[in-house]
Amino acid sequence: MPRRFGIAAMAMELMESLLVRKRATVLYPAERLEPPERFRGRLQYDSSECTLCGLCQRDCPADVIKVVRKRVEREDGTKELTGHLEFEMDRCIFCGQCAHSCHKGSISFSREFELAQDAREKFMMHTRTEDVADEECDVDEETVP
Amino acid sequence: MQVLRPLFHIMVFPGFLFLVAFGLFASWVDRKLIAKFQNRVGPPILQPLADLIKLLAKEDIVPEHANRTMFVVAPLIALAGVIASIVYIPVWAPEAVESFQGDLIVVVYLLTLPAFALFLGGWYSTNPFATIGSTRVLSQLFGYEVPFFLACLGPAIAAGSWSISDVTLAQFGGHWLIALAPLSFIVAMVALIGKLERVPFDIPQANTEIVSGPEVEYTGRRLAVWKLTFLTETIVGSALIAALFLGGPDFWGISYQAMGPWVGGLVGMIVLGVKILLIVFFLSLAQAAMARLRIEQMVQWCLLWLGIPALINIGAIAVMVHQLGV
Amino acid sequence: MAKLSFPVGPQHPALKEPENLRFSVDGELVVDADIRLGYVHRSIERSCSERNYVQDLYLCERVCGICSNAHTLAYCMAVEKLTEVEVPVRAQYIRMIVHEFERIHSHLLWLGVSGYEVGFESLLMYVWRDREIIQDILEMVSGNRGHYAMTTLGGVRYDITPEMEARIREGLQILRERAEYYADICTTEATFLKRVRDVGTISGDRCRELGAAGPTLRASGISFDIRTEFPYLQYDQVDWQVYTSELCDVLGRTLVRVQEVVEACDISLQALDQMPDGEIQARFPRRVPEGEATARVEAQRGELIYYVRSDGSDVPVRVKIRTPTLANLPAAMEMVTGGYVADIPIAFMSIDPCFSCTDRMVVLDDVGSGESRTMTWPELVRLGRQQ
Repeated sequence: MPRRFGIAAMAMELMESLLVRKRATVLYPAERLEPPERFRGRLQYDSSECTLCGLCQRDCPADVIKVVRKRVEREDGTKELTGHLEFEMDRCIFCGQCAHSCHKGSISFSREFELAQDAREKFMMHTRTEDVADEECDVDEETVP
Repeated sequence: MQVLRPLFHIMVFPGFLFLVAFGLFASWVDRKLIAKFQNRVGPPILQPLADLIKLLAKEDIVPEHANRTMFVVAPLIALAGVIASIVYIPVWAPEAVESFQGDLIVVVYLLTLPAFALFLGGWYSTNPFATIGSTRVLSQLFGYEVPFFLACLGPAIAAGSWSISDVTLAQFGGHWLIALAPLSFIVAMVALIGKLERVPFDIPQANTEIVSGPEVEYTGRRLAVWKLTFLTETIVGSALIAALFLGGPDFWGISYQAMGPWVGGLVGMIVLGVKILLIVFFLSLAQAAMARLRIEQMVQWCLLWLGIPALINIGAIAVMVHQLGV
Repeated sequence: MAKLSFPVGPQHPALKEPENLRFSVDGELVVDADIRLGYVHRSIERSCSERNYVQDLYLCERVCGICSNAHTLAYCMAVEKLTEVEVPVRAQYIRMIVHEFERIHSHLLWLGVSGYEVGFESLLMYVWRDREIIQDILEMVSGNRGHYAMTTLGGVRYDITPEMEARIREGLQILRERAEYYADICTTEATFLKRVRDVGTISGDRCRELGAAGPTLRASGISFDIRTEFPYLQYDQVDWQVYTSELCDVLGRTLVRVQEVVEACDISLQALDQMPDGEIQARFPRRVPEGEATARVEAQRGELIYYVRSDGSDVPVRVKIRTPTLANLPAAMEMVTGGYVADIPIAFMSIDPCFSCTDRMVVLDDVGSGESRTMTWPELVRLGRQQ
């Protein structure tokens, strides 16, 4: 219908929407839309390659990450660096800079987005204390990741 | 015993309870239709009832500087006016619960009470938004009331009576007056949009400009009464238009007497219900398709494009009645 | 009728963000208008001086949710000017593409909201349904629907893969058609036209005097766009044009914005064609050399200026942001005065106000003296122009 008859044309479009078109919304939570691959959902930390360098802590804009380091002396006299990371996820803005800063790829984000909790304590993420690093980190601290 | 029957008619059927129930259903139909027009899902059927219950549960506040009497009484006047008028409109048979010569004028008058009560309630709320909204209510009244009345006159002249029941009776058998008065029908429908304060004529309650207009200070039960007023006015206004133009409960001359009083009444009611829902469909379509006008645009447009066609139609009907004896 | 003082805000259904507008109305006519800002002031500029350059990327991004990438882009451009770093060409193209995507998303958001302001809810629903196309594209490319974190110091964070390219092209084609359809609606829909034609008029000369920017300026006939006047990224390599309108009213601004959506689709498609292979991020030093630099960017609402001063460490000394809404506000106040009350929301909305962006002023008062100072609007504007 020529658009000159503006209101009538709009009414036709509305009738088309009523009778023909599929709805544009989904009935959450019965139906869920899947986020794309790069979506920054739940933060995941893999301690296997982590060297406790602390670049993630330095670059996080929201002060989410705390790197706790311990120097431990083994029985044979060698010194060893261990520690763990603490994440205060209620402060996190999901910018992904920590994942980008990390040279070892220890931090990544899954596609899970339903992360609401009902108590602040539930947002604290402690990683397990174990041997996270065997050597001092020698990462280039002079360039922006 | 004599007093129980009218009380039943006013409070239960076809009065308050029936109107509220049907009004909630029509409100759901309206919201669902608009949602489907806009490619969305829309609320489930109990949503309008849930909204009403929520309102009833909220705290009741009267503003400090407001005139308490007017503030409290205004919504009640509005609701009472609308409910009182249903007894003169045929719901299940060509005769309404009560009828007398001139009840058409009484009903049209009663249906303007909500607008005046809205003005009073808003004015005495002493809130700048409510004040502006109240003046808009009255300005808008100038725009649609005269054309609405002129449009209602058309069928009255055609049927030769001032009683709604007689007009409906004259249409029984399939001679609906919309054939004689198409312009009046359209004018009445558009004026009904103004009466019910829906887009494009929801100017007094323009919520992006003056929040809620005259209703802005009302909360809780009193706001529920305002909402009920407009819900029931939808039904009553549509029933009036259906009675005047679409033959009311008539379904092309099916004899309701033959079905017996109860079944006949039920079928008549269902037929009227379908016609009311058709009118609601048109109202929803108009709401979804148009933007809101400014008040001076609305008054100018209405007096011109609603008043004149209504007059033309009345003239045509008068000529036809006089010359052809229809 | 006596003059009524009529407040709009801080909470009002017409406003996207809180601000306090005070109008004196006489019946339905607006006689006087006044504005008080500051409800969304979060002292971002001050916080920028306490965090390093990388953290400030995200702080600046969160100045606004709608023009977030424009802020990050301007910040990166300013900081990159302080160093010798060359942003790779592919990164520049990707930056340009995301910049234009954000323009599409912002203008469609505005179109929907302005439909809602005049009571045309169906326009809101339809436009925002189509806006989901660009939101899905942005989510696919960057991982988030708003605050994309795409632009970083030295380049961009993520690349656009060939599979994504195919989906992007498809989405942009649809959007282009829909934008032309909306331009059609805006010029032919009778009730909508009645609300936007000859509403909020301001002449081109007055706009220039008051320092308006962006589509507000371009709808009054003045062709000024930072992307052509001071080209950045790769805007001089793609074939596009600046759209102006002589209408000088809200309808003109609507048409300018919808046409910018069409142009943005074209620019993005051309950029996808022209984009060379290569790196997406250059190495960028943590300690930025001493100096000061400004960057100007054509954000969705107009000209956005960033000023960064550094002293050689990894924390900036001063970051200063001049947002386009601040420049457009005097024009907006003038548009509204002398009009009808009913036109306040749409006329004010036609400059696309973003108060999260605007409340950036920091005035360091002498706390010890204990006196409080109220700044009037002209004082505030003068202070903003001084710095």
